[in-house]
Parts: sequence; structure tokens; C-alpha cells
Amino acid sequence: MKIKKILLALILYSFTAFGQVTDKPYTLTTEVGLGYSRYITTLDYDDLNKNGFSGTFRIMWNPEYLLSIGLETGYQYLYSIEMTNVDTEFGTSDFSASMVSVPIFLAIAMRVLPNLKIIAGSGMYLLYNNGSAFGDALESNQVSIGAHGGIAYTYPLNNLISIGGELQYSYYSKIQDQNISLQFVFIYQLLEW
Amino acid sequence: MKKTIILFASLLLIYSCDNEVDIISPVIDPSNFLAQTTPLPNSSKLVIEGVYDVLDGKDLLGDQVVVKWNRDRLSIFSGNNGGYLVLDGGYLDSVIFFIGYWRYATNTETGVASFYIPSDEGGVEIILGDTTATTIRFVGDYGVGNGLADRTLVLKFNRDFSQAVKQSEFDILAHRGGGRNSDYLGVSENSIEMINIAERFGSTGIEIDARLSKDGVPFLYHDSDINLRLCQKSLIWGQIEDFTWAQLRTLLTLRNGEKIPSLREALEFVLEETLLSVVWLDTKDVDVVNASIALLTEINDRAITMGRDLKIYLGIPAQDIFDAFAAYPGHQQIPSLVELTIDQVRQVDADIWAPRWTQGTQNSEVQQMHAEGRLAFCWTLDETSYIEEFINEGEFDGILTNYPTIVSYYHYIQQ
Repeated sequence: MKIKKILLALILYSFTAFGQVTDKPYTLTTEVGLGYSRYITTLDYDDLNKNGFSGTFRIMWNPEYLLSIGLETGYQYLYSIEMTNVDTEFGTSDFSASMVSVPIFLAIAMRVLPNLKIIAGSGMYLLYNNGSAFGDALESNQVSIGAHGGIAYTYPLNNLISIGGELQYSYYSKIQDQNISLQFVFIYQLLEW
Repeated sequence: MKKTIILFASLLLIYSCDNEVDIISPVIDPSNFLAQTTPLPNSSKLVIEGVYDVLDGKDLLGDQVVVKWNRDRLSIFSGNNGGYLVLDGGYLDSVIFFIGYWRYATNTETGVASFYIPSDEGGVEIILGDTTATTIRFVGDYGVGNGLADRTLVLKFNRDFSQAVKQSEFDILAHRGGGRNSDYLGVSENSIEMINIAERFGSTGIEIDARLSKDGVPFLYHDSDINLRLCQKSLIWGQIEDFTWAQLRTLLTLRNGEKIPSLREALEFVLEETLLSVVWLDTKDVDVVNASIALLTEINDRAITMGRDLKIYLGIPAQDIFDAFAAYPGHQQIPSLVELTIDQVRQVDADIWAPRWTQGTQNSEVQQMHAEGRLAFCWTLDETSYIEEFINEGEFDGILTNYPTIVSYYHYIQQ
């Protein structure tokens, strides 16, 4: 109930508090984020590397209200591992495996303070699995529904460009794991009308 | 905005649908009492089988139960929530003891159960293999969850199985090797461990699902992809047939910790370690047809050599698999089961016609199959009322089900 009230308040706030009436109330921005990614999993391997690179690319439509909507894609490193001389029933083998994800999301952002916005998105993750074992390539891919939520601070350098940082939490339904990323964000206004 | 909120709410709902059920596994025979007993000889086991009245414990089992030995365990089947008991037993002096568990097939309720048959209420006769013994009484207790066995359960022999049942060759076929993961049986579907316990649920046969690895090895697996319904988290994800057999075997673990079995391992286990008489080998992909035929032919031949009552049928569930089978040289000599039309059954001279149960009992069509020397199974029948109807009014030679315990009850209790 409390969450419902907070959500309702945020939505009402978005339509009222910072509503701006200008001659050209609509803008189309492109956002690029680059940064660090940390995979959170219950996979239990000592040598599992869960730290890697993440990138985000969004195109957002910003109307006169505080809510923006757009499309998002990107890249998130999830894990990699390399094991050597592993004894198996098929003999000794070296293993390597890695997985990355590419989101194809509908994203929504809401400015809660002039330079601070919360971002949420949902859609599907394309999961790419690669590596090798027993001399054969590991190569497959899978689709997972997923969602992410985050918070971004951006500072306008001029009328067209803003920079900032974004902290993002992602959830992958198919593999029931999560990811946290911290990115440097560059925003460029493509259009206004 | 409203649509967006609905979209997010729907996605949240989808994410929250993965409910992990934490079913209790009752601790059975903690003091290892049965180790002090002597296993019953096979002649004694037959004496125990029959239909029993429930004198005490009707809340758990209803009015009547079926008592049936299945390879190495005594099973008791009831008509109440698909309730059943699986018991290990042995005798000490002239008293017979049983210890095991009960479970409702249609939910997750379970608990411990233990019985004894007193020496003067059937114990002596059973040990001697006296088939005239009709005064058998099981006296015991059961518990709920991990609780102590503190509720009384008493069964009294009512009658032997009917002649119709004894002479019947009706097959009770367990889905996915014995049951689905969603049935929470403690072992994974399509695993050797599941096949090992299938008979305890009354199964006389099993249905298993075959796929082909990237390097041509047939193995048991139902879905087309690696997922958490069937597997534990692993380093590999994606389409199951994108991986070699060594990769799957080494890097993938089934939901309850088992290794994924090859089709050869599964069929050899059925042949050598069980008394199962039918295997419905469901081919999940057209690529696995030829490899499955080669293997089932080999195992069927070995079964004949061993004098083993076992027949493995190639399941043909879809048109593309039908076409591949029809193009296979000499397919008429390969035991097969067609889930499609009667005409297609005739076209490839299949041994079994297997329609979906929702099409009804189809007695006329089943009779046509019988007249042509073929069998008819239906799949996958789980609804208790329809199981009763199909057994009492239908003429199928077997039922594929996720609840073989319920099918067993309604089959063996027939007059």
C-alpha cells in the first residue's frame, strides 16, 4: 500500500512539479553509457570472473512532462571462466566459457530532481554463450525476458550535451541472476520540436 | 501511460511466477531397523497383494486401497488425492515390518509411514507363501511432514485382484521416465534416478524424451533449451542441441543433481535393472530418429536374448518425424507408436496408435486397432475423474500419465 502511494505521488509529481511549457517542448536525445559491470550469481566456481564491461545506448523521447520514453540496447558482460586440466569421464580437458547479454528494451525515465532521474526498462535480453570444452566450441544463444532499474545524475554542459553517471541493476529471468553496472553517461540532444 | 504501467505490471507478474516449492522429504527408517530384518521371498510378496479395506486412517487414504509389489518396494495406492505409500519391508521372527513414506500425488503433502503385519494376522502365512491367507491385517502409523508417525493406520485384506485384472495386459506408463519435475518426486525427470523409482508408482512402462547432441549422441531431455526448470545453473546456456555430448555431460547438471543420461544408458538401465515392459521413446526432434532406431533395435534384440519382457517403441508425435520414419528403410519392422491419425498408423504399420486423451475414449477406433492386431494408448491423462472413466469405460491398452499411482488404483481395484 505504501509503495502504491509512493508510485502514485511520483507519477503526479512528474506531471506537475517540473512541467515546462516552451515553444519546443519535445526533444529526442541519444544516451551512451560506458562503464563497469558486476555479475551477481549463485554459480559456484572459484575462478569465475564476474567483473567486466558494460555499455548502454538509448534513444529517448522527452515530452514536456518529466517522464521520458525510449528504446535501449547495449552490452553487458556477465561472466567468464577458464579452467585447465580438468579431469572428466571423457579425459582431461581445458574449459573456457563466457556469457554476455544484449538488451532490447523499452525504457522509461523520470526526472525527480533537475539533474537526477530514475530509469527503468524491460524487454528481452539476448544471451550469448561462448567458449570451448573438449576441443569443441561452446557457442549458443538464448533469449531471456528481463528488466532493469537505475538512477542517473546528469549535468548539462550546454543546451545540447550533458554528461553524468548511472547506476543500474539488471535482472535476467531465464537464468535468475542479476547484474549491477556503473557507467559514465554522455547525452546528446538530436532534435527538438 | 496506462498501457506502460500494465506492461510493467505484467512483466513483474511473469518474473514472480517462478515459485520454488520446498517439499519436505520425510526421514525414513532413521534407526536402520529394516537392516535387522530378512527380505521377503518373492512367493510371499504375491500373497500380500490385493484390495484392502481401510479400518483406521480413512482421512488419509479413503475407504479402500490397492496393495501391490513393484520390483523392490511395496506400494499402496488410494483414491484419495492420488495418495500412495512406498514401503520397504522385511520380516523378523514371524512379524513383517514395513517402513516408508506416504504422499499425495496431486499436491505436496507427505510424511512417514510404518506398518507391521502381526504373526497371527497373516504374518506366518505370508512368510510361508500360503496363498490362502485372507486374514492379513496391516497395523501401523503415519505422520505428517517431518512429524512423528503418531496417527493410526490399519488395513484389512478384502479381496484378491479380480481375474480380469490378473489377466489384463494393461500398461501404466509414467511420463518423462516416472514423473515431471513439477511433481516434486525428489529426482529429476528423464533421469536414470527417476527411471529407477518409476515402478514404485505402479508404472509398467515409461515414456522418455530423446534429443541428439551436436556430435550425434542421443540423450534424454525434454525441452529444446537449457533452462532452470530442468537444470541447475551452469556455465552453458542456449539450445541444448548446440552442445556436444561431452560438454552436456560434464557441464550440465539436472535439476536435482543428476547427470544427464545418454539414451543408451537409459535403455540399458531399463533392460538390466528394472522389470519395466514398455518404453515409449518420444523423439523430440527429427534429427534423433535414426540414432534412436539403431539403439532401440539393439536393446530390443538384447531383451529377446535375455528372455526379458521388454519392448521399446519409437514414438512418432509429429508430421516431420513421421515423414523421416516413413522414409527409413524397413521401418515396418521397427516397433513404433504413432500419435497421429489411424490412417498414418496403418501407413507405417505401427504397433500402437496413441491419440491425445482429450479426444475421448474412441472405443470404435480402438476396436479397429485391436482388430488389426495393434494396441492403443492414450496420453497424457492426469484428471482423476477421466482416469476412472477411461479405465472403466474405455478400451485402451495403456494410459500415459503423470500420476501412475492414480491409474494404478483405478486399474487394480476393478472388479
